[in-house]
Amino acid sequence: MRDRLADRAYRALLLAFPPDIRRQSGDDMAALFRRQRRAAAQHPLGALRLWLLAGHDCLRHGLALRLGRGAVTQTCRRTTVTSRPHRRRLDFTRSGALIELRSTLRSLRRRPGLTILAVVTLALGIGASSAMYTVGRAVLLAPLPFGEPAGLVSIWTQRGGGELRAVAPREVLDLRERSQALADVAGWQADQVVLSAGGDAVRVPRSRVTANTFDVLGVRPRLGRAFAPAEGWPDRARVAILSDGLWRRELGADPNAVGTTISINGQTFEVIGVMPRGFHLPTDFGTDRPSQLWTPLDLNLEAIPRAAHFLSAVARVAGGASVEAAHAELVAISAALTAEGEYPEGDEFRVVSIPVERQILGAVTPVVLLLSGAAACLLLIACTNVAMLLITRADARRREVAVRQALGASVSRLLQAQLIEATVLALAGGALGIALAFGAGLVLEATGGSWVPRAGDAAVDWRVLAFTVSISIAVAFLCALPASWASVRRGPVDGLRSGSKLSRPLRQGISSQAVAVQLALAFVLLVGAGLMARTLWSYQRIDLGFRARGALTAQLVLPTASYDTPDRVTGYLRSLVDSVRELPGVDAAGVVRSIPIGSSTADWGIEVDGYAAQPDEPMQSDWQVVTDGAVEALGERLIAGRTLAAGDAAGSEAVGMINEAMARRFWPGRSALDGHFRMRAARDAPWVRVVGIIGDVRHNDLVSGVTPKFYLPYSQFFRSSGFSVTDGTLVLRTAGDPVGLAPAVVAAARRIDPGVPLSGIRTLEDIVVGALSTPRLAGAVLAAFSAVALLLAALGVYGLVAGLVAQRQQEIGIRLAVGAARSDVLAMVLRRGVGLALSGIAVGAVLAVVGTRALESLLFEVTALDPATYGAVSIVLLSVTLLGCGFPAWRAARIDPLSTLRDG
Amino acid sequence: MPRDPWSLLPLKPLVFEILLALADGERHGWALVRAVEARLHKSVLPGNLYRTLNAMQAEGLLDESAGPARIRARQASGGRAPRRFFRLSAFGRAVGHAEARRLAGLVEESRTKRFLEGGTR
Repeated sequence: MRDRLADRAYRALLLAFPPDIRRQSGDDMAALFRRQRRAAAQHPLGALRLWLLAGHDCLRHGLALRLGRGAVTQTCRRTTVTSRPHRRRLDFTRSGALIELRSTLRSLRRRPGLTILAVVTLALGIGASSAMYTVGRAVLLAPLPFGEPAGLVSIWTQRGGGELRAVAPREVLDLRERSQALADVAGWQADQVVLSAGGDAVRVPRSRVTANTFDVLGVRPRLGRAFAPAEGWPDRARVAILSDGLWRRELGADPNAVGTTISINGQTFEVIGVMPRGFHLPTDFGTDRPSQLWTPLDLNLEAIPRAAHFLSAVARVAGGASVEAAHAELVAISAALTAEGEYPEGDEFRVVSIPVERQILGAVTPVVLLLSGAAACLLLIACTNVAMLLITRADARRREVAVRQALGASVSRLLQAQLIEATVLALAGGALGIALAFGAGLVLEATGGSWVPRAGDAAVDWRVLAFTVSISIAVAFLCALPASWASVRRGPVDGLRSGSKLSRPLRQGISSQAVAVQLALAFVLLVGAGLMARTLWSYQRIDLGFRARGALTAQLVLPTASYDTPDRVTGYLRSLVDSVRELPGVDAAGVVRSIPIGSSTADWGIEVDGYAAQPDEPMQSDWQVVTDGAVEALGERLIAGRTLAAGDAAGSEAVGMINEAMARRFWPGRSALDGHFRMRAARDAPWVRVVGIIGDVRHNDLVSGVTPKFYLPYSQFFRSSGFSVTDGTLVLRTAGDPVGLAPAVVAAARRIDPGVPLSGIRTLEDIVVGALSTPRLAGAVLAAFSAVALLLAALGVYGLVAGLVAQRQQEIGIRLAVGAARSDVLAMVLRRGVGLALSGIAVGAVLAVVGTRALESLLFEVTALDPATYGAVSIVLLSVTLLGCGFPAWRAARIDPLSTLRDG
Repeated sequence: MPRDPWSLLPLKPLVFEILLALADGERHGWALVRAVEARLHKSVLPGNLYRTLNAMQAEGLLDESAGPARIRARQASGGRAPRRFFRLSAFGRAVGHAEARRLAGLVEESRTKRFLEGGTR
């Protein structure tokens, strides 16, 4: 396999040769190279060296043959020394550039250290840019996999201005009937199924979709057809559509897959279609387990009560209507539904639409742009470094350039030479950079791309190659210009007369400015990384109020058709919790309506016994519904009193728990235990006695403040609110590995009622980590970029100061000879470094103040202008600068005055 | 008009090495590389080798041959075998002879100038 790949790669190199040569000798050349490869493989670096040599060999000899250069006789006879300068001076043709290229390659080969340094430096800059371009294109620039995505809005419901929530099937029907601005509305519900397509059974994330879903999204299957209107309800047809990935994995990419059957949860389904590669439902972007299988939602939507909110929904805006008009119309429809008595006035029920593009990409756009900016910074630093290296080289070749100028070479010809050199370096750097970008792509793929929506689709393709080549050429110009300017600026006479060095002030001026710019850019990146590090550190220190470690969660939704009374719901939860508790290794188990961090809660109006509210004071509290054991399973802290118990049944005294925030707010200065509150529901709700106080828990996200919250038992919630909660999350705590318990839990649930599937099985730790993925990604990338930037800046400082010391060797020798102390010399060189660092810090601080604005939305408990971060970064930069000039300074102090004077 | 072998001199080292390697009989590319590398102590890559071989053929220094009978048999049976074999032409032998004479002259000259005595590597 590797052999075949290598053969192909070598055949690609052979394309440099004219076709007739390839026909005649291609096979023999490939065979010869194969033997050489085998011989070289014995040495670890041998293969790499051989490939580099082979690339050069093919380009050099192949292109020479193609350009008809090197007449046959020339190839056999050794060229005499005198013939070259003559030809070189007169030859301004295409092959002139080729000669220049050859001489460049030769001179680069003569100084391998410098060449490798320049190529690696450029590779880091170009690689980072290419990687960010790859990701940015996949995430932001590539069109969403829908027909006319601008006309798609996702639909949510909202109560009392709280969190956005899923939609009830009844509401989908309402919108279809009443809305003029929406052409059609589709909905789906995600779950997990066991799929078997002949091979082993596998767990696959599935979505049950309304039959019109693919039409609304404007996507056709690549094979077969979409669902027909009646296939969901009433037909309940057993048909399925597969994702491209699933089709490849489970059906071996069989082109005749349509019409075959697969087994889903033990039932036989017919495959009717395969979706194109890259297709996801709008809710499946940025999740680590997007649905890969779609079956019709086989529910009678009209029979499901309004309270059952479980559908994700998306709508297509009608032709001629705008997204804004659709939004306004939805608000009007919500008001009408409330006026008709479908929803209580107090609910402030609203249907909300969000453009799908904004929903999917809104949060990540600033992050991707920010990281692209960071990559550009890195590229700029790399360019300055290489530009300085080229200046040093131009300096060394000053006499050669002057001679060529004197012999009549035009300025453009000399510029061409510089440019060719820089281009060779930049293209080599670009090639290595692509490899780096490719590696970054593999890392993204390995992490599942769940960090950022669609980042997993990032791939190095021809566009990335084109981008890299153009960046490399731009970089070449950027790097070559200062050196060209410096070397051509003065006439030949001047150049020959004043010896081999560029005029000192000019060279040092350019280099010092370049190093200061580098230090400034490195400062910006370091500040960004520092702020992200502080943010992540603050996140780690957040007291969540629960213990994420050792807990497993699984979502469940009770079908309201069979669980139509509160007693039935409570009964099911009772048996589920009991049977899970019996599993070996389970320490605690319970069901909560809303899992902290993983889902959100909203507030509800309350009355508190003995608390006199101000006229305008909002009397609201978040609400949570739990079974006994849930608080223990989540690892929340009991501050006072007791937790809810199995004995708190539907008919017994109404009891509940509250969090500390609620106790502080409504029972200030006294114990809340045995106090009373009640929900402001449509009808008279019972007063609830507070039996326990729970430590504050971060619920809706990691960073918002904790608001008052009360906990009611599932068994009594109907009495308080007038509606039955039929969904929740099973939480269980174990001392062992929570993931290992998953199969047993699923089996236990199936034994109680196979019609209630557990889905979204994740550890609580995963949920918390997932909430941090964006700052983690930004932090990791910024840290890597700034480390490289710091290294490059240190190299820049070293190069500059070392060159300085070398140039002033004689002067330093004289100083030492006339009595200057070595410490004076040391201080002189270090002063130079400190000066550079300070100017870099000054410019960098200004740039950072502007640049870190983009970061602000990601920061937590630290401001973008955090003085501690700026201070620490300044110290780091100063230390690195001193480190960079430490060695040259030490060498300067050890200069032997006698030998310097003698040699000078 | 027969060409003057001296018109191609001095030969590139690789060309002379190939002439030397072919003096023993016909060879294919891989065998040539092995012979040349053993003496030159540096690797000869396919692009360079075949460009040189083509040029030498065009100059009339060598001819392409069908190769030994066993190789032809292997080719006929579709097996993996080198396609191109080379052997020295009469002109190639003359050029090799001329280059050797030139080098021998240099060696003679070096001896009279005492370049070959004593000294260290």
